[in-house]
Amino acid sequence: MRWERLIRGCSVLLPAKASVRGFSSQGDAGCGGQKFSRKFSQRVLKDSKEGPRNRRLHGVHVFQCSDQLGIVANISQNIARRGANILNVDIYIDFDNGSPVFYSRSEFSFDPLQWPRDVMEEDFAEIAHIFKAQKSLVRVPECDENLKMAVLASWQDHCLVDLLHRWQEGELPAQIGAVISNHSRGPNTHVVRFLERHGIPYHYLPTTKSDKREGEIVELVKDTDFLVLARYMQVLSSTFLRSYGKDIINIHHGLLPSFKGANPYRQAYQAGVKLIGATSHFVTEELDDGPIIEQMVDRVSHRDTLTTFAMKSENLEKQCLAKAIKYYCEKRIVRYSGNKTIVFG
Amino acid sequence: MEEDFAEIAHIFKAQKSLVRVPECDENLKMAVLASWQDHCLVDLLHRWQEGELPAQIGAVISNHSRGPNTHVVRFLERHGIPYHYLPTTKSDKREGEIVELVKDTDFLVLARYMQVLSSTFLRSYGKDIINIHHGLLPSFKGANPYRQAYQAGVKLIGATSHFVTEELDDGPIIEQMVDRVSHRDTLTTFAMKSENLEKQCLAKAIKYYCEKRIVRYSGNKTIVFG
Repeated sequence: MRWERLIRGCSVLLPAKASVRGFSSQGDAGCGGQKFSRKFSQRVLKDSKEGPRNRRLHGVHVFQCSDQLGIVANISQNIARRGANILNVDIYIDFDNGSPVFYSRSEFSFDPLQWPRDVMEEDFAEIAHIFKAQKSLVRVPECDENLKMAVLASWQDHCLVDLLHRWQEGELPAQIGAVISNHSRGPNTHVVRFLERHGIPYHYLPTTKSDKREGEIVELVKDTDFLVLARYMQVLSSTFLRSYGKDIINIHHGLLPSFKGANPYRQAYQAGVKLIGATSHFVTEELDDGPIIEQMVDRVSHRDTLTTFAMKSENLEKQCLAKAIKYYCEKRIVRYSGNKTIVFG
Repeated sequence: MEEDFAEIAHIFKAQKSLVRVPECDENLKMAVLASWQDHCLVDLLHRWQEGELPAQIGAVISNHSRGPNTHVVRFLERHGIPYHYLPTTKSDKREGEIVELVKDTDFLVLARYMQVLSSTFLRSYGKDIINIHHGLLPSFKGANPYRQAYQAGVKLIGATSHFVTEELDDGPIIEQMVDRVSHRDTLTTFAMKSENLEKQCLAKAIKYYCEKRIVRYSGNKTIVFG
């Protein structure tokens, strides 16, 4: 019996390791021998009449090129001729900046025996070549390693703790390489014990006005795919940004572009706004100015104090940051048009 | 009743003490200023007709002409509300005439009135003025907030109703509302969503004001009693 699964970052059930190996021995499940890296998900492999050979995997293709005729047709044909089934396609064309730019994200299910991973890469590379794509990537969540992040935090840990829990639940399809903090946490704290249980190193790097320990941080995170600033209270310098070179996601506890910088709660409180919010965004050289990924608001009134402002905001920050990380790992975010983001549905 | 409350006010040296009996007292009287965009004007006129806004409308003043056969003008005629067309130029904002026309009102409503009122006007008129700003203050003050928001790549846009002060788009905020936007939105859909918010946000502010629910305090803030 054929079955397909649409994976949207929810808990994915993996076969126990034994069956994975057993499956691979039937001729490389198309994963190219890569290890599964899903510690906290179990996938149930339903018994099927025809056995595992009909197991289908889920693929994601993200594409960017100058808009021209035939792109979608080409991509679709490329997928269909390999016996794969398109589950979702989200397309956006940017007409605002000179000649139109085409962006797409496609999800499809495929039989890895019919369409091996290396062949898939070639097929899509061919399309990228034909259309002179600026961006073309393929991802098979069940085979490829999850993106690896490092998390930077300071003394406030509501965002850190929230993302660790969601990660444990399998909600955030990523690996956590390390947690780095300029605030020390003792061995008996919730965070440290949690990280120990999961074998994730905690690095305490206290900062001073003159020493932000950036060199050491870059060294510690150089093997990560992206960074998450979970209410990290130090401003990363341009040197750091250039050194690290990869994406950094920050959560700002204010509704950008209002209340940039320090103490946005207090700024909002004094401004007498009736709505407060949180913004997750990519970090750029300008403080709190990078492409916005997600924003959320809550109502406040004269009855709110700075404390309740903080409470409501922290609740928003957690959700807003988690969403951004999830979108990022699922390759749903494309930066475009200068300072904006497409977040594919 | 006035005496009783005045006594309490005296005892406690009150900065503010007012009594209102909606069914007896006259409704507060407003004048509405609008420009060519009339979604807010039309919306508030309809709500007023429905009895949702417990106020009198003394006049509608606009720097945009509307012919006798337009919806707004016919509506106002039916209700005996004068429409004053006062075109403005870079050098002449007609403020003197406006003050004259509105001097018997209790407050003003700027329903997407696109002229900035000078400090002279504010001092001249002296009473409360409620404005609707088509942006989520303090973001995107001034002109073209849709375009500013669009270029900033925000995921939420909003409208803000507030009291007018000498600083542009800076007065005490009364109410704010938001809607989601994404990469799929164009300037047109930004405008559509925003106009929807502006109407609701302004109407709420006027209603709160007429029901004496708003108290300005702590510098630049408002209490809006439930």
